[in-house]
Amino acid sequence: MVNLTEQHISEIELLVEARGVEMKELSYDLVDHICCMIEDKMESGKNYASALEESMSSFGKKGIRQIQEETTFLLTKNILAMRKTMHITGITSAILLLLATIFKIQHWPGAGVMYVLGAASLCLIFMPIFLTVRVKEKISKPRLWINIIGTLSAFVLCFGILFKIMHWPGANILMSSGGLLIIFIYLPLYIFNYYKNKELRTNTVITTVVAIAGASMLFSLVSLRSSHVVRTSILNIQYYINDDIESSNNTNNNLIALMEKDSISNDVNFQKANEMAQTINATSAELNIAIAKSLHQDLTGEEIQHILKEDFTLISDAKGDLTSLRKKENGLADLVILVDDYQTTYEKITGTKASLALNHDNLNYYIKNENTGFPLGIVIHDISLLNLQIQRLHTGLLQYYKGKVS
Amino acid sequence: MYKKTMYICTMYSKELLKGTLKTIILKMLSESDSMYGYQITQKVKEITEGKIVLTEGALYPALHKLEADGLLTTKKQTVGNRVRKYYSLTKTGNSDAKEKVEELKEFMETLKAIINLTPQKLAWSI
Repeated sequence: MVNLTEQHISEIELLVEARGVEMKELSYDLVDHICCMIEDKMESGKNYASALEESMSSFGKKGIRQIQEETTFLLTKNILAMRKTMHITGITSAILLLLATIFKIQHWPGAGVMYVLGAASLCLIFMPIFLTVRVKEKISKPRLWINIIGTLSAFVLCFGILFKIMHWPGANILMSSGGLLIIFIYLPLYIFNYYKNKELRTNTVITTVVAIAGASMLFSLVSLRSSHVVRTSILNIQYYINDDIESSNNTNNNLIALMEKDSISNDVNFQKANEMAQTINATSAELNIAIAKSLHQDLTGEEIQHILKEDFTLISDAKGDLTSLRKKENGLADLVILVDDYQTTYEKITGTKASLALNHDNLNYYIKNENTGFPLGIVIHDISLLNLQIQRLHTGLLQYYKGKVS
Repeated sequence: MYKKTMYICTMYSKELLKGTLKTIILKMLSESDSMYGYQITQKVKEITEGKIVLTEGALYPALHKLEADGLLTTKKQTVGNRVRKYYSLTKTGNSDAKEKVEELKEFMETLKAIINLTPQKLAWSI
């Protein structure tokens, strides 16, 4: 039995390496195989040099390298196909999302469909394939976990943004949990793990800086609430309306007091119109209080009044359901009927058309819709405006009577 | 891309044997506890009286693929100043080997039926 020396073996190892075999496991196999061939040939009387020569040439010029190529091909055949799918779906969804954004900004039709398709292919095809490829590539455990956490949080965040754009419920929870996952779990893990690796350090730093800086700059462009100026002007409008209603009421009361002793105060139509204007005033105030109460149930009546007059932010920032408007008696529906009645009465008395700027679409929506997350500040605003118009109209009516008396 | 040398070198055409390489390897390994690459080539050569010779270019890629698929495991041992890798069947490898051999047997029977068709029989069946 011929045994090769260590020197012979290291020579063979070098030869195999020189032929371009980098896979350690394969090189063990090949070195042993070649050694066996040489040993066999030497058993049958050949010397080492010619046995080596013969064995190596039996592989052909590129034979050894081809073995490695064939092996890697067989081992990565599945992954290659998957990577291809991953690339295609990734590029497709990126293009879809980009187009959707352009369409959305331009208000062209089809943006929503593109967003849904893009996000779905990104989250439901690209991300699962990405993870499967990572698992198949047999990357190290910590890196695999970082990839899993990163993909999961991107998944949640992506759906959150999609829900937000499409105005679907649950968007805020998805978005904030996805964002928190990325910022507080994924990023620290990523930075910690990759920073340790000196080769990847520069790359890590660059990626992190670009990601964080880019994200925060973009984020600053998108303020999630309306700006301070807009909010203040909304508040001011409500306060002006309140003041106007109050001054109209005062004017009306003064006019009524002036005519109290005149015979006109016994006129049926005069009394009826007065009564209606007052009911409208009281009902709308009650409705506003009811809405405020549905948002802040623990507050007293006085505090509610205070909020309506001086702290409207507490209502204009909140959202709730419209059920408080649907009382059987003196609800919003009754109020609208009453306003119509008043208009007819006014027209009957004065012979002129009562022109009111009422938003009937809004009012019908408030009466019928089951929306549970409606910004109730707008409702209060609309009801107050309705009341203001009636009170102003009524001032006109009273002036008409006053003119008649004098 | 992969020339004749990559497949089983044999007196039979490579197309005939291409699909049977895995089965041959699994069958060889199921006959003994563990074998190393060169040993497998020698054993096949011996059994088939040199009619089938597994080339290195076909054997090792197949062995690595089978290992990656979890059908084989390896054990390293130092023999004659070098590392030698012994391949053996895993549990799934064992059942897979039986299945593959059965499949091949059946296939061979089916082939026989086709090959042995006489012209008369053919005429009758038409």
